[in-house]
Amino acid sequence: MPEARTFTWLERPARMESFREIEEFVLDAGRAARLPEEKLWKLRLALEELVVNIIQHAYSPAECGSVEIGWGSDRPGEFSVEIRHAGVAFDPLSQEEPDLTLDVEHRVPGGLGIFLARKMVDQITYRYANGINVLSLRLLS
Amino acid sequence: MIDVQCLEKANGLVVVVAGRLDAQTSTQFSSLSAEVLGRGSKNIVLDLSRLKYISSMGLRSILNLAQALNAGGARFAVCGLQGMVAEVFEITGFASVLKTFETPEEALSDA
Repeated sequence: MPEARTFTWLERPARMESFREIEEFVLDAGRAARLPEEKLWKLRLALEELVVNIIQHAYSPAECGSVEIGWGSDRPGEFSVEIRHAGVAFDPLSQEEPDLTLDVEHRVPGGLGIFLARKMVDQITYRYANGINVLSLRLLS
Repeated sequence: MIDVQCLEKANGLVVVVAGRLDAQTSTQFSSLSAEVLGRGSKNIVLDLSRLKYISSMGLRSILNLAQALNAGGARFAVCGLQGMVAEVFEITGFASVLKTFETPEEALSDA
């Protein structure tokens, strides 16, 4: 059972047009929580990689799915984000890491986004319960 | 959000990319890349010194450009990596799989 925390949420259609608003929602909160500049771009990058992945893959084109983003900063020096969606069950953290040593000709682009997202945050977990995918991110400043 | 300028130099083409190269601008970058390819230069340098942000979608569009240029027998290098862009290139290994230089002059003259 997760500990009780105060989160502020935004729900938007899982479409590319929603992304800029989602990004601003989280980054404004990050700035208000006084995250340093480096943590802010890391947060922005992790968010883009994870949310765009959901927008592209979580729902079939016929579905009008949504994505929910929440942030909380209950303790000083700690900033948490949760990303939820009711699309196909998918644990991005179970993906294999891409081979970063391959030369230009043999590089395949897949898997890079999730790999980057994982490197950007201090902690990331995934859970699936009652038909909802939940990604929890934590940044320590 | 993204601005691309081409500078025709005596020994090659410098493509200066400014702004953000992400999920929202990478399509635009890819169509500008097609234009760059159409110029037929055999020595192309991507100057990223004015790029503020890059994500995996941006990396992918650079990789596509590099592969297309290699396939056409052109030389491709990047220069001016700084800040978060340099860090993302480092983490993903792009800094070692692509030819990287400090300045466009160095990148062009190394050919």
